[in-house]
Amino acid sequence: MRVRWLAGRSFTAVTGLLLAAGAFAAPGQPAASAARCQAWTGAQPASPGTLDNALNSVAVLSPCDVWAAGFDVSSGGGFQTLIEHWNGFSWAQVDSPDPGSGNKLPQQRPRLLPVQRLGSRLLQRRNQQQDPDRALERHHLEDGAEP
Amino acid sequence: MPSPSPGNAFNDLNGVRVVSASDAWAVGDYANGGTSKKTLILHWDGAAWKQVISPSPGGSGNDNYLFAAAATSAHDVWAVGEIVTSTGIRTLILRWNGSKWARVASPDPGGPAKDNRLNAVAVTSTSGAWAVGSYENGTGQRNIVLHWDGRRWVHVATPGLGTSNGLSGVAATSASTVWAVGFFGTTVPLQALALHCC
Repeated sequence: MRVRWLAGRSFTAVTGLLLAAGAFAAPGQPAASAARCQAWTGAQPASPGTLDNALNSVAVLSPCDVWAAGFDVSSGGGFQTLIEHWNGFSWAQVDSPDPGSGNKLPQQRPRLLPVQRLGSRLLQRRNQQQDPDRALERHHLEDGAEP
Repeated sequence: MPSPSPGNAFNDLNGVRVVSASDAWAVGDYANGGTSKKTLILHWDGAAWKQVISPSPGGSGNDNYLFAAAATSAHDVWAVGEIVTSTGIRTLILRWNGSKWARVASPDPGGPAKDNRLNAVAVTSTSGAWAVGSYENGTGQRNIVLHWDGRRWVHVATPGLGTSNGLSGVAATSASTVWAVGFFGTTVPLQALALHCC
C-alpha cells in the first residue's frame, strides 16, 4: 500500500483542478477513490487563538463530512472550545459554547504552553503526574487557572 | 453503571470503543499504592463491565498506559498507549484476537531514550489500521503516524509543518478516508493541524 499523508496547503492548485473536473463527491456518498482523496486538501483549519491552537480529536462521517474538536487560547482569555468542520472543500470553524467561566490565564501561562504540547486535558494531567519537572504547570491548574 | 476499579491508588479510563450493544471496550491504567501503573481494559458484554487480563510489558518500575481503542469486529480490537521508563517513553500497542490481549511490536521513531507517545488509533480492516501520536527528535516534538499493513506496524512519514508538531486524534471510514488532527508550529501561536491520507 502506498501511503501518502498530505497537509493541505501545498495542494491548492491540484484541488482547484480536481474541483473543476467535478472530482468531489457529494456529502453522504461512499468513500472516494485514492485520487479523489488527494483532492480533499484545502487550507489548514482555522487557528483563531493568538497564543495556542490544537485539535484533539476527529470523527469522519464521510469524505465530505468530517468534524474536529480542540481548543484555542488568546491573550487575556481562557481556553476556548474549537470545533471545525470539513465539507469536502474546506475547513470552517463552527461556533461552539464555552460553558466555563473565570478561566482567565495568568500572565506567565503562555510561555508554559509549548512544554505540554498535546493540549488535551487528559495529556496535561498525565504529564503532570509523570514528570515532577512540570510541577509548575500543576500548580497553575490547582490554582484554578484553567477551566 | 458500575465498573471495576482494580487499583487502590489509581484507576483511569481514557478511551472507549463500542462494537455493538453487547460488545464495548474501555481502556486506561490502574495502580496500587507504591507500584507501577498497569494497563486496564474493561469489556461490556451487554450486562456488565468486567476487567479483562491485559499485558503490561513495561515491567517493574515502569508505567503502562492505554489511551485509545479501535475495533473492526468482536475478534479484532486494538489499543494504543505508552510505556514510561526512567530513560524514555515507548509506544505500546495491544491487540485482542477474540480470546486474549497480546502486545504487538511497534516502532519508536525517536529511539528508546526519547519520548514516543501514541494517543489514538483507527482501524479500517484487519489489515489496515493507523496509530498516531508524537515523538521527541531532540529539538521538539514530531508527528508519529504508524500504519498496520496486516503484518507489522510501520512508521510513515508525514509533512513536517513547523519545528514542532504532534497528533492527538485519528479517524477513518475506509482505507482512503483517514484524517488525523493535532497541532503544528514554530513559534507561538501554534496552529491547528489536519492531515489526511491516502
